[in-house]
Amino acid sequence: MPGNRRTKGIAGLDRLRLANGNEGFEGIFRDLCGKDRAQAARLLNDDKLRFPSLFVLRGDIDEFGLAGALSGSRRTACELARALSSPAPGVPWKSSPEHAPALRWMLRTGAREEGLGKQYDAVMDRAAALLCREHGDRRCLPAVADMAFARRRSGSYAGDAEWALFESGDPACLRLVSARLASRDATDREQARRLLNFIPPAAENADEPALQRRRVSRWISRNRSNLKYTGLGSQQGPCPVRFEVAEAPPANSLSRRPAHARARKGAGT
Amino acid sequence: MIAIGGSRIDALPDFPGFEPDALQRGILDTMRKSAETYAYETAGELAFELRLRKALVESARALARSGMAFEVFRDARANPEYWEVTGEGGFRLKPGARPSEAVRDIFRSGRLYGTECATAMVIVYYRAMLDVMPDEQFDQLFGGIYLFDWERLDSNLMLGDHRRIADELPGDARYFVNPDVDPLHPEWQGENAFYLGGGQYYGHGIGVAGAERILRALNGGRREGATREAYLLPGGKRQDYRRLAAAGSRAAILATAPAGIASGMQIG
Repeated sequence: MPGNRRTKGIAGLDRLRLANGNEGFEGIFRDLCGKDRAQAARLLNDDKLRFPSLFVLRGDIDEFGLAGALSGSRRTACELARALSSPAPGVPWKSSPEHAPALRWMLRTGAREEGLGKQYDAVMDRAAALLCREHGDRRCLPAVADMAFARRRSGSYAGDAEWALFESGDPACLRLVSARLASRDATDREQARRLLNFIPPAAENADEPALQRRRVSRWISRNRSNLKYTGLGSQQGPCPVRFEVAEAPPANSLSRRPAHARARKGAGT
Repeated sequence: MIAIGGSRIDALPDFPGFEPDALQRGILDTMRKSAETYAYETAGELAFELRLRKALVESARALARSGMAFEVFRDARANPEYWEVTGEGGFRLKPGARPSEAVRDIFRSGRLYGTECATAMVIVYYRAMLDVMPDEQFDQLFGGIYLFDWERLDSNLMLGDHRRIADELPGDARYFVNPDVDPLHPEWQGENAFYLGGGQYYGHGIGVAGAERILRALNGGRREGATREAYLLPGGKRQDYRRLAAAGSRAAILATAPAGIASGMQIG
């Protein structure tokens, strides 16, 4: 298939999916499996393949017995896609270090995909939660933040992606969210304000986004070393205190007002 | 203790036209014995709080009986006659539907509905408000009703989130938090529950149960190798009963005013 500017440099299977839509793509892949399984396996192992294509084909990979022909990390991603689609209730997830590279690949190549449906979104949210929380991966945080904000913009459910981001427990996630306070997109700004509404300046200056962002950034910088994740999120209440300022700021900022005096003491009354 | 009009009261106040029942007398008893001061301008304000707290308890029990299922937001469902289920799993009132009827339908046709525990709490608040105000006033106040966790809460519900409460009173909304939740089941990160009195709570998905059973259910949804147990947060959510009572009085006056004035009424 001739490449164009949109498809140049991407894996053959991704190109087929973009050109034919998910259903057409699956049909073509099934035909290929019937004719040339080795070629189908080579395409699945392509270094440039993106996770959404693997997700669409996961049933066909099983049906045509291709799992054994997949490379190690690709096979793990395929197993994770299956397991994360419908995790058994009441059976705690068993994390393994070998999951991490596959989960990173899933997030890196799949977080921006939209329109693959609720099950795909759920798999991505669970992958994000595993990486952020169980594997302590911090490099994935920008992709998880992008995913959460993209979901909200498209009107789909963003709560679990937001939860995964904060479950990293890393104040870096506050920076990623605060960057959206001055977004050109009103939905982004509103979502960022809501997620950070425990930080006093995030509840003020809403009509001056750039100023609000600067003030929130300063608050984060000032308190960064003392911020402690509380584990509370939007399920708990309208204004969950996601991070608390645990103690007084370091000695070099003692001339300022103590950080705990600035931290809002919770929502409501 | 209870203070009315700036004076501490030791005996049960006289509520003209209102006789507290056992649940409400229990609330009064807890308030009187408390180190916390429960202050009101008038006995009527206190009576309003007692009525609304009872309505919250009854609404919570009614929702528990309704057959509404527990569903994660992605699988949320509602009666399409009244509600549109949005892409994020919220329930948006359909154009032309009466808010009061739509809220009652959740309790009447519970099996057509499914959502998470936070939305269930919000539903209980709306249903309780219906018990203390006429339908017309409810429809006017909550015309743009959108049910979706705590995020889209109508400010007219006047809900406050207190980091600590001195006493647990029937009608208080509490939160059981599960810090070591299984990462694949964030719906078990906690349980919102109304305190019903007598050591009982209603939490959607678990039902009417004691704290121990709720904690056991949450602990059953923890990650592998969990070291932290689920626990009850010391805070709680309470409506601003005094402001609601004052707004209710204003509404009663406005109800007799010309229609144009009454329709412009806002609480809050």
